[in-house]
Amino acid sequence: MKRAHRKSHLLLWLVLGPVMFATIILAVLNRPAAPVNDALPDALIEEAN
Amino acid sequence: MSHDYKAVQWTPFKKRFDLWMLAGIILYLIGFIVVGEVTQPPGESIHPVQAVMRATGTLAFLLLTFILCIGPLARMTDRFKPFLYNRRHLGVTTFLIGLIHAALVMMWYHGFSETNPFVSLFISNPRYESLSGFPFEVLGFGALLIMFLMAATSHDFWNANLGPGVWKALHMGVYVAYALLIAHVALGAIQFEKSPAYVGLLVAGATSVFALHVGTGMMTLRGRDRPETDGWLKVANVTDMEDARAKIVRPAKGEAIAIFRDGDKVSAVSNVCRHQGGPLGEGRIVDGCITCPWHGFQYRMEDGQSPPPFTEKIATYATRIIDGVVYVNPEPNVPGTPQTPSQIGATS
Amino acid sequence: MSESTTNLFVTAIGIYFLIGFFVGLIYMFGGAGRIDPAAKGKGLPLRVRLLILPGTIGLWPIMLMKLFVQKEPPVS
Repeated sequence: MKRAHRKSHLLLWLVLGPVMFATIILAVLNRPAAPVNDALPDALIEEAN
Repeated sequence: MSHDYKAVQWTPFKKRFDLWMLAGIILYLIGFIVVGEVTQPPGESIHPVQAVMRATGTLAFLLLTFILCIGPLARMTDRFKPFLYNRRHLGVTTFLIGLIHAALVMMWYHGFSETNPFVSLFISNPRYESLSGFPFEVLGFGALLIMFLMAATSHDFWNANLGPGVWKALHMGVYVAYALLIAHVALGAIQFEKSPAYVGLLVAGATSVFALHVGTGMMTLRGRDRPETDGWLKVANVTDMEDARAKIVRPAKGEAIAIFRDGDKVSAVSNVCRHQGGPLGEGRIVDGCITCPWHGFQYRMEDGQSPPPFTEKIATYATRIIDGVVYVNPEPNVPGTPQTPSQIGATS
Repeated sequence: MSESTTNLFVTAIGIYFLIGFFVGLIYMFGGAGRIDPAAKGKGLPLRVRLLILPGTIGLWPIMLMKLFVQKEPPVS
């Protein structure tokens, strides 16, 4: 691999890396919580199961 | 180029490699589907098509992660060299697995309406401003499109006719494809898969690829060899030079230099193969010729020319041996210039 | 994106690939040998011709330009 490529290669990663990790962190933090149905008492759910 | 094109330049090793690769892929797909079926909580069964979708999706992600790790790993240890030389087949295979994944998605989620499936892909979920509801499929589509271009131009014909510069620039697009794929998984599977294994895999993949590339990148940028007082670079002690092998030296300016030892002769050539820019210094001397480890292109040690009927030429460099230490002059000769090898044991 | 813009976009991509397919056919049957002497006649078995097709479909604007800019003697 030519040297010029090594440099642009590193630069590209220095841009892509933070973008990648920012996406992962934001995505994990914004995960929807598991839907909870408060209207149903626990006993009823257990019975249904 | 002065040779005929072949669909694949098969070697026994490549055949064995491809067989193992295929076996591994089939085992993974079957294993993933069976384990998924067994561990599925009762009442939450998924359709076989969805199971194959997940199996191919995770496999494509794992394969691409591995492929992107091969380059830096091969520069750290010889064990990864075999993978480096077969990266092309791995890459094309990964594209095909991604294509199966995408085809299933298109058929399953977009194929049953009156709308054109491709139009449906872009408009069925318009929440481009949302994070957890983002139309992540579009990101995967983008990654696949880039991987299509890579796979389609992976043959030698393209390398020769686009020129190594354009070709390499185009193939660096695979990093963009990987970032898109990370976003595709983060905004897709991570949002609805409850298992922490998915987050773990995603973070592990992104971290290893990023760390390896930035790490080795920094290493080469910093690892400049300092010139000796009169401009010659120290290579190594003669006794440290293995027969038929090379040491690689990176001068402050210009390309890396490969300094080969063949018996009691030492000569230096450019480290960059004319064919695809392969690292000649990681190859060996076969029948008196420097042989590129990537595709076996050969150059004569004494003048950097490919033996007839080939016409490729690489730069040669002057060498000298003083007190059992090999030095190289970092000024390249015009490619193909004869350069007398240094003689080990001769008084200079 | 509205449905009509998306329709236009998808149609444009379709047309791009369709043109690419025709340029690819030109390359498969002679074009490749025109820009690359090593890809002439027997130097290019059918399997390799098929391998050239998808790439030309994707990169046809570059390849079409090469066909006119690079002047090699046509295939005999």
